[in-house]
Amino acid sequence: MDTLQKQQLAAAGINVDDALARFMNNEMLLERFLKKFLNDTGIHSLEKAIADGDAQAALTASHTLKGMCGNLSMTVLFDLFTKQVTALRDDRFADAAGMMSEILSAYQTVTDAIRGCWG
Amino acid sequence: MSSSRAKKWIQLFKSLRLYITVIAVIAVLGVAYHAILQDALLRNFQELGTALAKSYVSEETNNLTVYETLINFGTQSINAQKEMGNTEEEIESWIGTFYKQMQSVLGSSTVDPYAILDGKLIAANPWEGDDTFDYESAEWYQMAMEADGDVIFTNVYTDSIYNKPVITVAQKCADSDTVLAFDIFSENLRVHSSAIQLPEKSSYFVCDSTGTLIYQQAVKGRSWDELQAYVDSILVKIESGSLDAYDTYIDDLDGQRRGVYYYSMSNGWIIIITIPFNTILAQSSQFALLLGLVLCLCIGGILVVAWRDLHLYSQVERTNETVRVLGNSYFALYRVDYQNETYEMIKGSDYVRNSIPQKGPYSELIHMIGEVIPADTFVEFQKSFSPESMRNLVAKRIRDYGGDFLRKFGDEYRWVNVRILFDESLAPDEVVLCFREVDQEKQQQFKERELLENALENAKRSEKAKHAFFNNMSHDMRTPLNAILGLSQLVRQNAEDPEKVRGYMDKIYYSSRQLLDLVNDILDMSRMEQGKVVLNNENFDLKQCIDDCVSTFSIQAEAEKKHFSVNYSMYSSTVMGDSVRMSQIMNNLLSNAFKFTSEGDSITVTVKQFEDKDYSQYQIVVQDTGIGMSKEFLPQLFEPYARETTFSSRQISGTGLGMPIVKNLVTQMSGQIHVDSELGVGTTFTVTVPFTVVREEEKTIPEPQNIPAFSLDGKKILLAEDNMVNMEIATEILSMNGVEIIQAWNGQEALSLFKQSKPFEFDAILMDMQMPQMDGCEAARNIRALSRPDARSVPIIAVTANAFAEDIAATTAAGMNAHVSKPIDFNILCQTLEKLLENK
Repeated sequence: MDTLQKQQLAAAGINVDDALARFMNNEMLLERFLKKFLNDTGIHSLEKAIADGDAQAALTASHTLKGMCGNLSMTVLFDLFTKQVTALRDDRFADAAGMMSEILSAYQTVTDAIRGCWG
Repeated sequence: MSSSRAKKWIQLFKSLRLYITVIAVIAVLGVAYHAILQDALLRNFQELGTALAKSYVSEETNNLTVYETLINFGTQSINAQKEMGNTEEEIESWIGTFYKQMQSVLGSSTVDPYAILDGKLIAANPWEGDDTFDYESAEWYQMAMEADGDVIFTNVYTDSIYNKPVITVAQKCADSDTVLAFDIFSENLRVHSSAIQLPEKSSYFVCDSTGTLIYQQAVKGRSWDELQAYVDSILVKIESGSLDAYDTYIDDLDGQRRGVYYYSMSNGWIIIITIPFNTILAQSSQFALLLGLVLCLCIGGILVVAWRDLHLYSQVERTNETVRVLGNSYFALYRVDYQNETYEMIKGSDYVRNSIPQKGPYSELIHMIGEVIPADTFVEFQKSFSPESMRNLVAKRIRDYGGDFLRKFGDEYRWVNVRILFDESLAPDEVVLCFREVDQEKQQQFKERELLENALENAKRSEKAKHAFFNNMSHDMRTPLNAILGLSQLVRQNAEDPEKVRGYMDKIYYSSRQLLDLVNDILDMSRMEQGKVVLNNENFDLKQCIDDCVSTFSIQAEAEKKHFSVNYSMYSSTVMGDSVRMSQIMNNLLSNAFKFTSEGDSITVTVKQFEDKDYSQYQIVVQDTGIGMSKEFLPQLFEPYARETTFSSRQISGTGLGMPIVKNLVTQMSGQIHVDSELGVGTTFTVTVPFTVVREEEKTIPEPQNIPAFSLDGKKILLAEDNMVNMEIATEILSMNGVEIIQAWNGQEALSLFKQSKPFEFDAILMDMQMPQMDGCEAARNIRALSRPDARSVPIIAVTANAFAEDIAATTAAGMNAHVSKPIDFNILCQTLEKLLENK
């Protein structure tokens, strides 16, 4: 992973150094997981649950995404999902639903950056 | 909207139909009568005009006869004188006398007489050139000679001397060539008759046989030539016969219509009278005016009526609409005539419409209603809504009478409200019976009543509990007070014995202390209930705080011969919090444990911090092997003023407020408290509270990246995780450290994989909290419940993205040993595993 790629990922809200530390500085490993992330369907489950107004399903999906983003040190997304989970647990569904556009755009930024690096 | 407007107009047209017809008939009759009248008038005037013309002709003829007679007299006189042989001079002088006589009779300028006597012109008013006048070439002379003794009249010509239109009357004497002639100025042909007056604005013309205008009357301000042309045009029409019909007319010089009436004189002259149609039809015009006025008034009247009707109709329509809207809220409406005892159905439910006719005897309706309401209600209904009752209500002017009852709709009963409404001024002897469904309101009412009853019940219970509490409290307070009083008495009696006094004084101190604690607890609880307790957060050493609390109890443990131990497992002990309240919690938990344990029992306090993070969860477990509590009492444990009655036989001091106070404080610290207890086995209180860790400079340095001495190499771990990416990350990291990973994709799978494994095959289980089919907590509970040697001992570590106190409390309650938050910090995971595996 060169410096440019790191910069791109960092700009998309991924704390590369933190993630590398977690993967024992194994860049290949991080690359593999980031590519895996592209295939994850959790975000669609979340979108559907929000659209259906299913707070329980939304909480489950958001929670899973929060864990995954945390593991990959996607700090921007992690913070957003953390907020959303808190909102859902406090029964503030409208607030949680209101965050969707911000979440989707951040999600797009991250996936675009990953595709840009290795796409 | 448009259809209602169309309806409105149709309605209006209907109401005005009669008026419009009458007006139309009047108009048609009027116009017809007007036409007939005009026709008759024109016919009348045809006769009248012609008669007038005739009479004027005879008058004019008379006029001329006068001149004829005079000239006859003249010529015969001359003849006679000639026969008598009078000289020319004598005849001339006679003529002169004759002229004078004539002028005196007719007036001086009426006629200008003159004579040709033996070739000599003798004039009454001699004019210049008399001598040279060539009389033989003059028309009148030629005509007179030709007529040979008959009187002749010339046509009109312009007199050369006076330059005025004149006619000449002439006659030749029988026996000589003497010709006598009068020039008559046309204006003197005026008819002086007063026999018949011409109608107003009529014109009168006299023309000679060539059509030359001799005389005209009534047309002013027009030149003679203009008039001549005008008369010529009339004469052309007369000759062509186009003016013979009674209703023909000409346009006069001013463009007005005129009827033309004429008659010819025997000498070829023609008299024309024109009368304006205005004059002829004056009568019919008046009639037309009157008729028009009457019609206008009628139409005006109709418009007023129409406007009023329209206004009234729209008002009525609006009222109707409003009534219909009001009626919508009722499912059935009946008008009941209580004098004749009949009903009329305005609106009815489907069931009723199918069962009874639109109108009928009231008893039938009542009978019908009896079929759909319960029998006991029906008896009352019959009584309340009988005709007599209605009469009574109307007489007493009770305008709103009715009530609610259950009515059967199909198979189910629903609440219905019935009301009797009436207005004796609008419909005497009638009332309106209306039915409205009020099931929802009624159910709401019931619910509210139930709520109220419950609230009342709660209040009563709470009152009772407080009452009981005060009773207990009084008792509890009386006990130490009695002791103090009794001991004081003893001190007084044994004042000489210092040994005894010291013993009594100790007891007094102890009792007073107990009383003070009691009062403090009561005050605390009351403050908490009012929400007046505020946490005073500051840096403090949690370990120090707990140590201080524990130390006092250590002495008590030793005295009471109980096993008492404290374990700490913390990364950082300096935290931000309220140490005083923390002590209060510990004191309450510990005193509770000591209270319910006996000699030989053990009490263990475990304090641990879950992760080494800035905001950390701390867990304090106070476990005893005392008498425990019944399952039934556990839910009430944290309720104020409750105390399990089975304990009352034992001499237990305390208010029963300790646990509610603890619960209150823990909640205020954003923590959770959980209790596990079994009668005869013991009680475990687990308090999970988050604290913000306060890092001290020197403490952060020593252990940054120290390689764990403990190795995970060769360990076998069951990993339960439903998210693919998370699963791979965890697997990868752990595998790199030599751990053998068995993957389970949900709690159910984890449970069955563990069941299939050999005992002690797995060194640990990493459990995601939230998984499909079976979540982490449930899987952990199920694993702990298995009957195999490692079921209770295998370390289960919760892995979750949530680190709320309630989550951690839940994992602990499910029997999990530790908690690691996502994102997984490998070092923390290793530390946690190390600790758990070492303990094993």
